[in-house]
Amino acid sequence: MSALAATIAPAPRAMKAASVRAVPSAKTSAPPRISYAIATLVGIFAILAGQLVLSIALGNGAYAIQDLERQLAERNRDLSIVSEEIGQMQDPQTLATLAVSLGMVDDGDPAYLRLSDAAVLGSGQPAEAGSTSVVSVVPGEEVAGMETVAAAIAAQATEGESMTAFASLTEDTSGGAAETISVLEGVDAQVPVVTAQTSVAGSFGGDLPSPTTH
Amino acid sequence: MPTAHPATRRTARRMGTVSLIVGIVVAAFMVRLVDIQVVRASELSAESAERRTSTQMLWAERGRILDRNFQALAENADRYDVTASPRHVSDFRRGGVAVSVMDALAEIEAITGTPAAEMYAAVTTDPESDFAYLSKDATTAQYRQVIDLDIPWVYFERTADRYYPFGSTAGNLTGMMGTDGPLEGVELKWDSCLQAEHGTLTYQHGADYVKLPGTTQISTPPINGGDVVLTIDSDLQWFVLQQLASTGQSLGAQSGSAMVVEVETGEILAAADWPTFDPNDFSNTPQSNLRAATFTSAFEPGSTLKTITMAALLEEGLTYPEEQFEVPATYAIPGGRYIRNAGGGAAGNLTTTGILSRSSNTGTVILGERISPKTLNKYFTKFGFGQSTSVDFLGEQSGYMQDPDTIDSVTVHTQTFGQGMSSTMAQMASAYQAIANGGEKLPLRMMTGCSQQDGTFDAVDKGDPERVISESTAKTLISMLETVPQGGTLQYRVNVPGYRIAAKTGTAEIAENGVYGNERMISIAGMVPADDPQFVVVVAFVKPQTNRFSYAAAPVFDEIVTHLVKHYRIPPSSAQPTLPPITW
Repeated sequence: MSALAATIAPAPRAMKAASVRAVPSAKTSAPPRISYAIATLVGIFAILAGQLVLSIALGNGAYAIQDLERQLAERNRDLSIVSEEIGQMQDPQTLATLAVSLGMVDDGDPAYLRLSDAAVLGSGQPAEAGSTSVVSVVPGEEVAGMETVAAAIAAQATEGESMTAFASLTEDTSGGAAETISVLEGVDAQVPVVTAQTSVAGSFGGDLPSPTTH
Repeated sequence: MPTAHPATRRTARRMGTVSLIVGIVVAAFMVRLVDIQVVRASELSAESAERRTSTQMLWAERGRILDRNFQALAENADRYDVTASPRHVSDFRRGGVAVSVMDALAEIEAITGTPAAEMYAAVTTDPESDFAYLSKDATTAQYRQVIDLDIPWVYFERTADRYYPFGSTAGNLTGMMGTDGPLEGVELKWDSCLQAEHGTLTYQHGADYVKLPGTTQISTPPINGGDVVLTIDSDLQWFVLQQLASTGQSLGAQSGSAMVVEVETGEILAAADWPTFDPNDFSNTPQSNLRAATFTSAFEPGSTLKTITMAALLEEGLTYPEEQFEVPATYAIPGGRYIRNAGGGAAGNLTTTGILSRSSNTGTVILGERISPKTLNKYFTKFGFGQSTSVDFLGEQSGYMQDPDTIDSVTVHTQTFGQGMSSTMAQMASAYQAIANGGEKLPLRMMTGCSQQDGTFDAVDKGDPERVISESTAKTLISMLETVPQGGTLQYRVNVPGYRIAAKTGTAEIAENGVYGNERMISIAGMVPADDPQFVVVVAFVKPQTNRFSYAAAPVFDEIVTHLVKHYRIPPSSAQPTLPPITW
């Protein structure tokens, strides 16, 4: 732009010096410098590259979200399995059936020691082995069937689905991306971790526990 | 006039032509642009959004039913229906190995248990269909196993299943869910607290159906149901149910029920019915078992009601524990009818206490003639008979009492010992709670409240206590009831060392088709410890066959009382009782 102005500017003075004169052919303008073109192209490519990087980042975010949602669904399924098994194990019928199968008995004849006069209230006779049994409360339900169910539930506690589910609740077994795992670890880090309190030597004269409460 | 250079003219023409072409092209683009961006903008925008937008259901969980220790009696479990697209069902290759349709279905059968032949029929009935059920209600573990089979034409539908971890233990109270909603019990009665409303989420997705960031929008938020918190102690409920089943079977009884109420609060700790049902699988259960008989069955209570008659007499000052009677074995009432006793011990030289302790029908009728039907009815009503309890359980009965103004000449006598009127076990437990609580009746409660998902707790109104009889009358009555296990109808049959127990037996004749036959309902109602009552226990068996006397229910009553004092760490009674005499 400045080069062009410099070329045209002297014209009025020349017209005063010679009134009739052939107009000189216009000088060809200087070719644009290559640096401008390069700068323009670099700018354009930079913008395109920036947009590409932004798109990739957004796309990756979408896939990461989808992967996390899938993992969340899997963990919820784990939770569902574990909750169901815990519920079964807490069933008084199951617990009692297992207890009886282990030989435990309910002492229906308890005795009490009265502190005021050291009197023993009640006979205090020990319960007899095999004196406790669990009966069916639903018509058609066999006690043998109840025992089988209880044994199956007990087996689940050591080798069943819940163990797998418990394991997957603490570690990612889905083979997800490393960045996803780090996100999960970040979530875990927000949960206060209560570490086992080691006993303080000498505070209670030995290995007595001295738990810290929060 | 100078003429333009030919080359300049050519250039001008060329420039004009190019400009014209460019102008035409630009104009065409402008027209297209206006057409897309303005004229058809909304139509194209909607079409685009429709193609890219999906709707997803947001699951809301139905509330749980919890016992007093927040143990879940009813909760939710995920289940999956295994489906297929029949028109895509074909043999396929898995890891380079060919798998036939039947092989694949056999693999699914091994996991879900649904016969392969049944599944094959489902996918071949309409081969052009795009949907067929293969197996329903697969567990989460089964769902995962089927996924691992990697069968290309198998799909899944998630469903919500209601699950009752404690099965039959509290099935009579929780009720159950059917395919269309709640059917019985708490599930139906307090559905307004439990019910959930699913929500919806809309989002835009790419070609691979991945959600586009920033496009998710919750159209309808999911609303989880609240948890119903009951006053039931499920461990105690199970124990009571076991005792009912054990003794009920040995008695050959048709059914049995028991209720335990905490005296201080009026809260029901156990309300068990035998035989009962498993709400997880009730398809083959008779209708008669699908209920909470403690609330929904009204029977003529028999002699446990004598306690209430005696309370009215004592409160009105019409007798006192030591008053002496020569009680006849039979007593004639108007109309040529006779009142008789169940055993010989219920007649002779008895005190008022003895009449109650030995459950004398004749003695009770003689005493009952001292109180007007209207006054007696007033006390029955104050104790809660003839009206539903405040629990207001689904299908709860209110029982039956004759109008005192029009009562017939026989019932006016028989109602004093619990015949000619009816009550539920819940009513009887509530009446004994009033006596145990020093004469002040607290409204029975079985639901503590509704725990909403937002953390708020909507407590059920506890209601106001109502004084039914004076504290001194209640104490006197309890001491009279203490003689029942000591020297009355439960002597040697109810004994928990270290604890004073007050109780009353009942043997009611059951009327069938308007006629009293040989069938009986035997029951015991009482409280422990008698010196500071903590619990009221009521036990009943309907139509026992091997033993029709009320003391046949004593083993259950004794076991429950023994268990209660152990379970709730109740200290033994500190003082020996001074009881009124039974005979003279």
